[in-house]
Amino acid sequence: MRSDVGSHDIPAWLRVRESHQPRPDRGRFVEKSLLSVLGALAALRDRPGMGRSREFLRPELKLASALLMVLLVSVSRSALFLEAAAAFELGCLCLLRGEVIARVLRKVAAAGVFAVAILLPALVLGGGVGVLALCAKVLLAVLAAALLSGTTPWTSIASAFAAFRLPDIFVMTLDMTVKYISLLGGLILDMLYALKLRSVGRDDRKMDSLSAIAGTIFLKSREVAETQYQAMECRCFAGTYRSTRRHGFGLSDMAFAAANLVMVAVFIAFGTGR
Amino acid sequence: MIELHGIGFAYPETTVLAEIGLCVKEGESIALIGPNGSGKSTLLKLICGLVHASAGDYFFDGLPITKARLADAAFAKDFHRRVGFLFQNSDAQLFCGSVYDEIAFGPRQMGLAEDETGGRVDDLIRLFGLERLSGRVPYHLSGGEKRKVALASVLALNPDAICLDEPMGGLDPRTKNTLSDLIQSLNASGKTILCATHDFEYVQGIFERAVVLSKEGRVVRDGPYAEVMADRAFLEAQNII
Repeated sequence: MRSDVGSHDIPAWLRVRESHQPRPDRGRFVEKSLLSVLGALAALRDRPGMGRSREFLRPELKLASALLMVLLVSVSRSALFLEAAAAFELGCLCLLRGEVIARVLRKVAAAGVFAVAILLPALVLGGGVGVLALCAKVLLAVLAAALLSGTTPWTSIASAFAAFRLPDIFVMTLDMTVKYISLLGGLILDMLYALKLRSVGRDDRKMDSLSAIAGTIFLKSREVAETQYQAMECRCFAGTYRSTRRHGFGLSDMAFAAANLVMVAVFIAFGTGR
Repeated sequence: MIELHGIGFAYPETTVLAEIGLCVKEGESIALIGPNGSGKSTLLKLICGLVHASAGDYFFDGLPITKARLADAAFAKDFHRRVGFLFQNSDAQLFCGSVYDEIAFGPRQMGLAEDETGGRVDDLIRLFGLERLSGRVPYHLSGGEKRKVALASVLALNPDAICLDEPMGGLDPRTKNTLSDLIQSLNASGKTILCATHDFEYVQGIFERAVVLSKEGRVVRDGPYAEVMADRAFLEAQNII
Protein backbone atom coordinates (compact mmCIF):
# COMPACT_ATOMS: atom_id res chain seq x y z
CA MET A 1 0.00 0.00 0.00
CA ARG A 2 1.36 3.43 -0.95
CA SER A 3 1.83 6.00 1.78
CA ASP A 4 1.32 9.76 1.45
CA VAL A 5 4.78 10.74 2.64
CA GLY A 6 7.91 10.21 0.60
CA SER A 7 11.35 9.84 2.14
CA HIS A 8 12.65 12.88 0.23
CA ASP A 9 10.06 15.27 1.57
CA ILE A 10 11.59 16.05 4.96
CA PRO A 11 12.24 19.81 4.85
CA ALA A 12 15.85 21.04 5.14
CA TRP A 13 15.25 22.94 8.41
CA LEU A 14 14.02 19.71 10.00
CA ARG A 15 17.26 17.94 9.14
CA VAL A 16 19.55 20.27 11.09
CA ARG A 17 20.03 20.49 14.81
CA GLU A 18 18.65 23.78 16.03
CA SER A 19 19.86 26.01 18.83
CA HIS A 20 17.17 28.06 20.48
CA GLN A 21 17.44 30.59 23.30
CA PRO A 22 13.99 30.74 24.92
CA ARG A 23 12.62 34.25 25.35
CA PRO A 24 11.84 35.10 28.97
CA ASP A 25 8.19 34.96 29.93
CA ARG A 26 6.76 36.09 33.24
CA GLY A 27 3.68 33.94 33.25
CA ARG A 28 3.46 30.66 35.15
CA PHE A 29 -0.14 30.22 34.18
CA VAL A 30 0.26 26.72 32.71
CA GLU A 31 2.03 25.43 35.82
CA LYS A 32 -0.62 26.99 38.06
CA SER A 33 -3.42 25.51 35.96
CA LEU A 34 -1.70 22.13 35.96
CA LEU A 35 -1.30 22.18 39.70
CA SER A 36 -4.94 23.04 40.29
CA VAL A 37 -6.18 20.31 37.93
CA LEU A 38 -3.77 17.81 39.48
CA GLY A 39 -5.01 18.78 42.94
CA ALA A 40 -8.65 18.33 41.95
CA LEU A 41 -7.96 14.96 40.33
CA ALA A 42 -5.90 13.78 43.28
CA ALA A 43 -8.75 14.71 45.61
CA LEU A 44 -11.09 12.74 43.42
CA ARG A 45 -9.24 9.52 42.72
CA ASP A 46 -5.68 9.25 44.02
CA ARG A 47 -6.32 9.24 47.74
CA PRO A 48 -3.92 6.92 49.52
CA GLY A 49 -5.42 4.70 52.21
CA MET A 50 -8.87 4.85 50.64
CA GLY A 51 -8.90 1.17 49.81
CA ARG A 52 -8.55 -0.01 53.38
CA SER A 53 -11.12 2.32 54.92
CA ARG A 54 -13.59 1.36 52.19
CA GLU A 55 -13.59 -2.17 53.48
CA PHE A 56 -13.87 -1.04 57.08
CA LEU A 57 -17.32 0.56 57.16
CA ARG A 58 -20.37 0.71 54.92
CA PRO A 59 -20.48 4.01 53.00
CA GLU A 60 -24.21 4.39 53.76
CA LEU A 61 -23.42 4.29 57.46
CA LYS A 62 -20.63 6.84 57.12
CA LEU A 63 -22.84 9.15 55.09
CA ALA A 64 -25.67 8.87 57.61
CA SER A 65 -23.25 9.50 60.46
CA ALA A 66 -21.78 12.58 58.78
CA LEU A 67 -25.21 14.06 58.06
CA LEU A 68 -26.36 13.27 61.60
CA MET A 69 -23.32 14.90 63.18
CA VAL A 70 -23.62 18.02 61.04
CA LEU A 71 -27.30 18.29 61.99
CA LEU A 72 -26.84 17.65 65.71
CA VAL A 73 -23.83 19.92 66.03
CA SER A 74 -25.68 22.70 64.19
CA VAL A 75 -28.80 22.64 66.35
CA SER A 76 -27.09 21.88 69.65
CA ARG A 77 -27.09 24.65 72.26
CA SER A 78 -24.91 22.81 74.76
CA ALA A 79 -21.14 23.03 75.20
CA LEU A 80 -21.21 19.56 76.75
CA PHE A 81 -22.64 18.05 73.58
CA LEU A 82 -20.09 19.86 71.44
CA GLU A 83 -17.36 18.39 73.63
CA ALA A 84 -18.88 14.91 73.29
CA ALA A 85 -19.13 15.37 69.51
CA ALA A 86 -15.50 16.49 69.38
CA ALA A 87 -14.47 13.40 71.37
CA PHE A 88 -16.45 11.15 69.02
CA GLU A 89 -15.06 12.68 65.85
CA LEU A 90 -11.50 12.80 67.13
CA GLY A 91 -11.88 9.16 68.16
CA CYS A 92 -12.90 8.29 64.59
CA LEU A 93 -10.00 10.35 63.26
CA CYS A 94 -7.52 8.46 65.43
CA LEU A 95 -8.48 5.19 63.75
CA LEU A 96 -7.32 6.42 60.33
CA ARG A 97 -3.90 6.20 58.72
CA GLY A 98 -1.39 9.01 59.15
CA GLU A 99 -1.69 10.50 55.67
CA VAL A 100 -5.50 10.43 55.82
CA ILE A 101 -5.44 12.17 59.20
CA ALA A 102 -3.12 14.85 57.78
CA ARG A 103 -5.41 15.38 54.78
CA VAL A 104 -8.54 15.65 56.94
CA LEU A 105 -6.87 18.04 59.39
CA ARG A 106 -5.68 20.28 56.55
CA LYS A 107 -9.27 20.74 55.40
CA VAL A 108 -10.49 21.37 58.96
CA ALA A 109 -7.69 23.84 59.64
CA ALA A 110 -8.54 25.78 56.47
CA ALA A 111 -12.21 25.94 57.49
CA GLY A 112 -11.24 26.93 61.03
CA VAL A 113 -9.04 29.80 59.89
CA PHE A 114 -11.80 30.99 57.57
CA ALA A 115 -14.43 30.81 60.31
CA VAL A 116 -12.24 32.69 62.79
CA ALA A 117 -11.45 35.36 60.19
CA ILE A 118 -15.14 35.85 59.46
CA LEU A 119 -16.14 35.93 63.12
CA LEU A 120 -13.23 38.03 64.38
CA PRO A 121 -15.18 41.31 64.32
CA ALA A 122 -17.94 39.72 66.41
CA LEU A 123 -15.35 38.49 68.91
CA VAL A 124 -13.77 41.95 69.14
CA LEU A 125 -17.20 43.49 69.67
CA GLY A 126 -17.84 41.20 72.63
CA GLY A 127 -19.48 38.16 71.07
CA GLY A 128 -17.69 35.99 73.63
CA VAL A 129 -18.81 32.44 74.21
CA GLY A 130 -21.38 32.47 71.39
CA VAL A 131 -18.69 33.20 68.81
CA LEU A 132 -16.42 30.49 70.18
CA ALA A 133 -19.31 28.02 70.08
CA LEU A 134 -19.97 29.00 66.46
CA CYS A 135 -16.30 28.40 65.58
CA ALA A 136 -16.44 25.03 67.33
CA LYS A 137 -19.59 24.11 65.39
CA VAL A 138 -17.96 25.00 62.10
CA LEU A 139 -14.89 22.94 62.94
CA LEU A 140 -16.94 19.91 64.04
CA ALA A 141 -19.27 20.07 61.02
CA VAL A 142 -16.32 20.35 58.62
CA LEU A 143 -14.52 17.55 60.46
CA ALA A 144 -17.56 15.28 60.06
CA ALA A 145 -17.73 16.01 56.34
CA ALA A 146 -13.95 15.68 55.92
CA LEU A 147 -13.99 12.32 57.70
CA LEU A 148 -16.54 11.10 55.20
CA SER A 149 -14.83 12.50 52.09
CA GLY A 150 -11.38 11.51 53.31
CA THR A 151 -12.28 7.86 53.82
CA THR A 152 -14.90 7.17 51.15
CA PRO A 153 -14.50 7.24 47.37
CA TRP A 154 -16.89 9.66 45.66
CA THR A 155 -18.48 6.82 43.73
CA SER A 156 -19.36 5.08 47.03
CA ILE A 157 -20.76 8.29 48.46
CA ALA A 158 -22.95 8.69 45.38
CA SER A 159 -24.26 5.13 45.57
CA ALA A 160 -24.76 5.49 49.35
CA PHE A 161 -27.43 8.09 48.61
CA ALA A 162 -29.51 5.25 47.19
CA ALA A 163 -29.92 3.93 50.73
CA PHE A 164 -31.75 7.16 51.59
CA ARG A 165 -34.47 6.42 49.06
CA LEU A 166 -33.31 9.16 46.70
CA PRO A 167 -34.49 8.70 43.10
CA ASP A 168 -32.32 6.40 40.95
CA ILE A 169 -31.81 9.15 38.41
CA PHE A 170 -30.33 11.39 41.12
CA VAL A 171 -27.85 8.72 42.18
CA MET A 172 -26.96 8.00 38.57
CA THR A 173 -26.41 11.69 37.86
CA LEU A 174 -24.07 11.93 40.86
CA ASP A 175 -22.19 8.81 39.74
CA MET A 176 -21.78 10.14 36.22
CA THR A 177 -20.72 13.55 37.43
CA VAL A 178 -17.89 11.98 39.39
CA LYS A 179 -16.93 9.82 36.42
CA TYR A 180 -16.85 12.76 34.01
CA ILE A 181 -14.95 15.02 36.37
CA SER A 182 -12.28 12.32 36.41
CA LEU A 183 -12.43 11.65 32.67
CA LEU A 184 -12.49 15.26 31.52
CA GLY A 185 -10.00 16.18 34.23
CA GLY A 186 -7.58 13.68 32.71
CA LEU A 187 -8.12 15.26 29.30
CA ILE A 188 -7.59 18.78 30.67
CA LEU A 189 -4.40 17.57 32.30
CA ASP A 190 -3.10 16.13 29.02
CA MET A 191 -4.03 19.32 27.15
CA LEU A 192 -2.21 21.46 29.68
CA TYR A 193 0.80 19.14 29.40
CA ALA A 194 0.67 19.50 25.61
CA LEU A 195 0.46 23.28 25.96
CA LYS A 196 3.38 23.26 28.39
CA LEU A 197 5.52 21.13 26.06
CA ARG A 198 4.98 23.53 23.18
CA SER A 199 5.22 26.72 25.26
CA VAL A 200 8.92 27.03 24.54
CA GLY A 201 9.15 30.80 24.50
CA ARG A 202 7.11 33.87 25.22
CA ASP A 203 3.36 33.50 24.88
CA ASP A 204 1.63 36.83 24.44
CA ARG A 205 -1.77 35.20 24.01
CA LYS A 206 -1.99 33.01 27.09
CA MET A 207 -5.70 33.54 27.57
CA ASP A 208 -6.35 32.47 23.99
CA SER A 209 -4.72 29.10 24.66
CA LEU A 210 -6.63 28.57 27.90
CA SER A 211 -9.96 29.55 26.38
CA ALA A 212 -9.27 27.21 23.45
CA ILE A 213 -8.67 24.38 25.92
CA ALA A 214 -11.90 25.26 27.74
CA GLY A 215 -13.75 25.27 24.40
CA THR A 216 -12.36 21.87 23.44
CA ILE A 217 -13.31 20.42 26.82
CA PHE A 218 -16.85 21.77 26.36
CA LEU A 219 -17.10 20.10 22.94
CA LYS A 220 -15.66 16.87 24.33
CA SER A 221 -18.07 16.83 27.28
CA ARG A 222 -21.01 17.26 24.90
CA GLU A 223 -19.65 14.45 22.72
CA VAL A 224 -19.18 11.99 25.57
CA ALA A 225 -22.58 12.87 27.02
CA GLU A 226 -24.22 12.12 23.66
CA THR A 227 -22.26 8.87 23.33
CA GLN A 228 -23.25 7.86 26.86
CA TYR A 229 -26.91 8.59 26.14
CA GLN A 230 -26.79 6.52 22.96
CA ALA A 231 -25.02 3.67 24.77
CA MET A 232 -27.70 3.72 27.46
CA GLU A 233 -30.46 3.65 24.85
CA CYS A 234 -28.78 0.66 23.20
CA ARG A 235 -28.81 -1.13 26.56
CA CYS A 236 -32.55 -0.45 27.04
CA PHE A 237 -32.15 2.09 29.83
CA ALA A 238 -35.54 2.67 31.43
CA GLY A 239 -34.61 4.86 34.40
CA THR A 240 -33.61 2.09 36.80
CA TYR A 241 -30.14 2.35 38.28
CA ARG A 242 -29.02 -0.04 41.00
CA SER A 243 -25.60 -0.31 42.55
CA THR A 244 -24.57 -3.65 43.97
CA ARG A 245 -24.24 -3.84 47.73
CA ARG A 246 -20.97 -5.62 48.33
CA HIS A 247 -20.73 -5.59 52.10
CA GLY A 248 -22.88 -7.08 54.80
CA PHE A 249 -23.55 -5.35 58.11
CA GLY A 250 -20.38 -6.36 59.98
CA LEU A 251 -19.18 -6.00 63.55
CA SER A 252 -17.42 -2.72 62.85
CA ASP A 253 -20.59 -1.35 61.25
CA MET A 254 -22.59 -2.32 64.32
CA ALA A 255 -20.06 -0.70 66.65
CA PHE A 256 -20.07 2.49 64.56
CA ALA A 257 -23.88 2.57 64.45
CA ALA A 258 -24.00 2.06 68.23
CA ALA A 259 -21.57 4.95 68.75
CA ASN A 260 -23.82 7.15 66.63
CA LEU A 261 -26.85 6.12 68.66
CA VAL A 262 -24.97 7.05 71.81
CA MET A 263 -24.34 10.49 70.29
CA VAL A 264 -28.06 10.85 69.59
CA ALA A 265 -28.78 9.89 73.21
CA VAL A 266 -26.24 12.44 74.46
CA PHE A 267 -27.88 15.07 72.28
CA ILE A 268 -31.35 14.25 73.63
CA ALA A 269 -30.07 14.33 77.21
CA PHE A 270 -27.80 17.42 77.04
CA GLY A 271 -27.79 18.87 73.56
CA THR A 272 -30.80 21.16 73.79
CA GLY A 273 -29.89 22.84 77.08
CA ARG A 274 -27.29 25.58 77.60
CA MET B 1 21.73 11.42 24.51
CA ILE B 2 19.23 9.90 26.97
CA GLU B 3 20.42 7.93 29.99
CA LEU B 4 18.18 6.38 32.62
CA HIS B 5 19.76 4.71 35.64
CA GLY B 6 17.66 2.71 38.12
CA ILE B 7 14.55 4.74 37.35
CA GLY B 8 11.45 3.99 39.41
CA PHE B 9 8.04 5.62 39.31
CA ALA B 10 5.14 4.90 41.62
CA TYR B 11 1.67 6.22 42.33
CA PRO B 12 0.56 6.13 45.98
CA GLU B 13 -0.38 2.44 45.93
CA THR B 14 0.98 1.23 42.57
CA THR B 15 4.48 0.79 41.22
CA VAL B 16 4.53 1.68 37.53
CA LEU B 17 8.24 1.53 36.68
CA ALA B 18 11.00 -0.25 38.55
CA GLU B 19 14.78 -0.24 38.10
CA ILE B 20 14.66 1.04 34.53
CA GLY B 21 18.07 1.29 32.91
CA LEU B 22 18.21 2.64 29.36
CA CYS B 23 20.78 4.43 27.20
CA VAL B 24 19.66 6.01 23.94
CA LYS B 25 22.27 7.32 21.49
CA GLU B 26 21.60 10.27 19.23
CA GLY B 27 19.88 9.19 16.02
CA GLU B 28 18.71 5.83 17.38
CA SER B 29 15.20 4.55 16.81
CA ILE B 30 13.76 2.46 19.60
CA ALA B 31 10.46 0.65 19.96
CA LEU B 32 9.08 0.39 23.48
CA ILE B 33 7.09 -2.80 23.69
CA GLY B 34 5.05 -4.20 26.53
CA PRO B 35 1.57 -5.29 27.54
CA ASN B 36 -1.08 -2.75 28.53
CA GLY B 37 -0.25 -1.16 31.86
CA SER B 38 3.46 -1.93 31.66
CA GLY B 39 4.39 1.76 31.99
CA LYS B 40 5.38 2.60 28.40
CA SER B 41 3.45 5.88 28.37
CA THR B 42 4.74 6.80 31.81
CA LEU B 43 8.32 6.13 30.70
CA LEU B 44 7.86 8.40 27.67
CA LYS B 45 6.29 11.11 29.84
CA LEU B 46 9.20 10.79 32.22
CA ILE B 47 11.69 11.20 29.37
CA CYS B 48 9.79 14.34 28.28
CA GLY B 49 9.94 15.74 31.81
CA LEU B 50 6.17 15.67 32.35
CA VAL B 51 6.43 13.36 35.36
CA HIS B 52 9.40 12.83 37.61
CA ALA B 53 11.02 9.62 38.78
CA SER B 54 10.59 8.58 42.39
CA ALA B 55 13.95 6.78 42.21
CA GLY B 56 17.02 6.77 40.00
CA ASP B 57 18.69 9.33 37.73
CA TYR B 58 17.82 10.71 34.32
CA PHE B 59 20.36 12.49 32.13
CA PHE B 60 19.70 14.26 28.84
CA ASP B 61 22.84 15.21 26.91
CA GLY B 62 24.79 14.65 30.11
CA LEU B 63 22.64 17.01 32.18
CA PRO B 64 20.58 15.61 35.06
CA ILE B 65 16.87 16.14 34.49
CA THR B 66 15.20 16.70 37.83
CA LYS B 67 12.13 18.49 39.08
CA ALA B 68 14.33 21.24 40.48
CA ARG B 69 16.17 21.75 37.19
CA LEU B 70 12.93 21.87 35.23
CA ALA B 71 11.68 24.55 37.63
CA ASP B 72 14.13 26.82 35.79
CA ALA B 73 11.82 28.13 33.07
CA ALA B 74 14.55 28.83 30.52
CA PHE B 75 16.03 25.35 30.87
CA ALA B 76 12.60 23.69 30.84
CA LYS B 77 11.55 25.49 27.65
CA ASP B 78 14.76 24.58 25.85
CA PHE B 79 14.43 20.98 27.05
CA HIS B 80 10.79 20.74 25.97
CA ARG B 81 11.68 22.12 22.54
CA ARG B 82 14.38 19.49 22.14
CA VAL B 83 12.24 16.54 23.24
CA GLY B 84 8.93 16.35 21.42
CA PHE B 85 6.00 14.25 22.60
CA LEU B 86 3.08 12.89 20.59
CA PHE B 87 0.19 12.05 22.90
CA GLN B 88 -1.76 8.82 22.51
CA ASN B 89 -4.97 10.85 22.42
CA SER B 90 -4.62 13.50 19.72
CA ASP B 91 -7.61 15.41 21.13
CA ALA B 92 -5.42 16.26 24.09
CA GLN B 93 -2.79 17.82 21.89
CA LEU B 94 -4.88 20.12 19.72
CA PHE B 95 -6.21 23.35 21.17
CA CYS B 96 -5.89 26.05 18.50
CA GLY B 97 -8.62 27.41 16.27
CA SER B 98 -7.24 26.13 12.98
CA VAL B 99 -4.81 23.54 11.67
CA TYR B 100 -2.50 26.34 10.48
CA ASP B 101 -2.44 28.02 13.90
CA GLU B 102 -1.95 24.66 15.58
CA ILE B 103 1.22 23.96 13.62
CA ALA B 104 2.36 27.58 13.89
CA PHE B 105 1.93 27.64 17.69
CA GLY B 106 5.42 26.27 18.45
CA PRO B 107 7.43 28.38 15.97
CA ARG B 108 5.59 31.52 17.16
CA GLN B 109 6.50 30.59 20.74
CA MET B 110 10.10 30.29 19.64
CA GLY B 111 9.91 33.85 18.40
CA LEU B 112 10.50 33.02 14.74
CA ALA B 113 9.55 35.71 12.25
CA GLU B 114 6.09 35.23 10.76
CA ASP B 115 7.48 34.45 7.28
CA GLU B 116 9.79 31.78 8.72
CA THR B 117 6.90 30.41 10.77
CA GLY B 118 4.76 30.37 7.63
CA GLY B 119 7.51 28.54 5.76
CA ARG B 120 7.70 25.83 8.40
CA VAL B 121 3.93 25.45 8.54
CA ASP B 122 3.65 25.24 4.75
CA ASP B 123 6.43 22.62 4.61
CA LEU B 124 4.69 20.48 7.22
CA ILE B 125 1.27 20.92 5.67
CA ARG B 126 2.74 19.67 2.36
CA LEU B 127 4.63 16.87 4.10
CA PHE B 128 1.47 15.54 5.74
CA GLY B 129 -0.87 16.28 2.84
CA LEU B 130 -3.02 18.66 4.92
CA GLU B 131 -3.45 21.36 2.27
CA ARG B 132 -7.24 21.13 2.21
CA LEU B 133 -7.48 21.26 6.00
CA SER B 134 -5.30 24.22 6.95
CA GLY B 135 -8.27 26.45 7.81
CA ARG B 136 -10.32 23.78 9.56
CA VAL B 137 -10.84 23.46 13.32
CA PRO B 138 -8.59 20.55 14.45
CA TYR B 139 -11.23 19.17 16.82
CA HIS B 140 -13.57 18.42 13.94
CA LEU B 141 -11.06 16.39 11.90
CA SER B 142 -11.00 12.60 11.62
CA GLY B 143 -8.78 10.52 13.91
CA GLY B 144 -6.05 10.08 11.29
CA GLU B 145 -6.06 13.76 10.34
CA LYS B 146 -5.86 14.79 13.98
CA ARG B 147 -2.87 12.49 14.48
CA LYS B 148 -1.09 14.04 11.49
CA VAL B 149 -1.79 17.58 12.71
CA ALA B 150 -0.60 16.65 16.21
CA LEU B 151 2.67 15.21 14.85
CA ALA B 152 3.14 18.20 12.55
CA SER B 153 2.69 20.53 15.52
CA VAL B 154 5.43 18.64 17.39
CA LEU B 155 7.78 18.65 14.39
CA ALA B 156 7.32 22.40 13.93
CA LEU B 157 9.58 22.84 16.98
CA ASN B 158 12.31 20.82 15.23
CA PRO B 159 12.99 18.61 18.25
CA ASP B 160 16.14 16.48 18.50
CA ALA B 161 14.27 13.54 20.02
CA ILE B 162 10.67 12.56 19.48
CA CYS B 163 8.63 10.39 21.85
CA LEU B 164 5.64 8.79 20.18
CA ASP B 165 2.96 7.25 22.37
CA GLU B 166 1.06 4.66 20.32
CA PRO B 167 1.18 6.80 17.16
CA MET B 168 -0.78 4.30 15.09
CA GLY B 169 -3.48 3.37 17.57
CA GLY B 170 -6.95 3.47 16.03
CA LEU B 171 -5.82 4.57 12.56
CA ASP B 172 -6.65 3.08 9.16
CA PRO B 173 -3.97 1.06 7.32
CA ARG B 174 -3.14 3.84 4.86
CA THR B 175 -2.55 6.41 7.61
CA LYS B 176 -0.50 3.83 9.52
CA ASN B 177 1.70 3.38 6.45
CA THR B 178 2.02 7.14 6.10
CA LEU B 179 3.15 7.54 9.69
CA SER B 180 5.41 4.53 9.44
CA ASP B 181 7.20 6.02 6.40
CA LEU B 182 7.41 9.38 8.08
CA ILE B 183 8.94 7.99 11.26
CA GLN B 184 11.52 6.21 9.14
CA SER B 185 12.31 9.39 7.20
CA LEU B 186 12.59 11.44 10.37
CA ASN B 187 15.00 8.92 11.83
CA ALA B 188 17.00 8.91 8.60
CA SER B 189 17.24 12.70 8.85
CA GLY B 190 18.90 12.38 12.26
CA LYS B 191 16.02 12.49 14.74
CA THR B 192 16.12 10.21 17.75
CA ILE B 193 12.87 8.25 17.96
CA LEU B 194 11.32 6.51 20.95
CA CYS B 195 8.01 4.91 20.16
CA ALA B 196 5.59 2.92 22.30
CA THR B 197 3.71 0.65 19.96
CA HIS B 198 1.61 -2.47 19.51
CA ASP B 199 1.36 -2.19 15.73
CA PHE B 200 4.19 -4.58 14.91
CA GLU B 201 2.94 -5.19 11.39
CA TYR B 202 3.33 -1.54 10.45
CA VAL B 203 6.62 -0.74 12.13
CA GLN B 204 8.71 -3.51 10.58
CA GLY B 205 12.02 -2.16 9.41
CA ILE B 206 11.64 1.17 11.20
CA PHE B 207 13.32 0.47 14.49
CA GLU B 208 16.86 -0.70 15.14
CA ARG B 209 16.23 -1.63 18.72
CA ALA B 210 13.39 -2.93 20.89
CA VAL B 211 13.06 -2.46 24.64
CA VAL B 212 10.52 -4.77 26.24
CA LEU B 213 8.79 -3.82 29.48
CA SER B 214 7.15 -6.44 31.67
CA LYS B 215 3.75 -6.08 33.31
CA GLU B 216 5.64 -5.05 36.46
CA GLY B 217 7.31 -2.13 34.67
CA ARG B 218 10.79 -3.63 34.39
CA VAL B 219 13.01 -3.85 31.31
CA VAL B 220 13.07 -7.56 30.52
CA ARG B 221 14.73 -7.41 27.10
CA ASP B 222 16.78 -4.85 25.21
CA GLY B 223 18.17 -5.83 21.82
CA PRO B 224 17.97 -5.58 18.04
CA TYR B 225 14.33 -5.16 16.98
CA ALA B 226 14.31 -8.01 14.49
CA GLU B 227 15.89 -10.41 16.98
CA VAL B 228 13.43 -9.53 19.77
CA MET B 229 10.42 -9.79 17.48
CA ALA B 230 11.60 -13.15 16.16
CA ASP B 231 11.48 -14.63 19.67
CA ARG B 232 7.78 -15.57 19.64
CA ALA B 233 7.98 -17.68 22.79
CA PHE B 234 9.39 -14.74 24.76
CA LEU B 235 6.75 -12.31 23.43
CA GLU B 236 3.98 -14.77 24.28
CA ALA B 237 5.37 -15.26 27.77
CA GLN B 238 5.27 -11.47 28.24
CA ASN B 239 1.63 -11.28 27.01
CA ILE B 240 2.69 -9.11 24.09
CA ILE B 241 1.34 -11.35 21.33
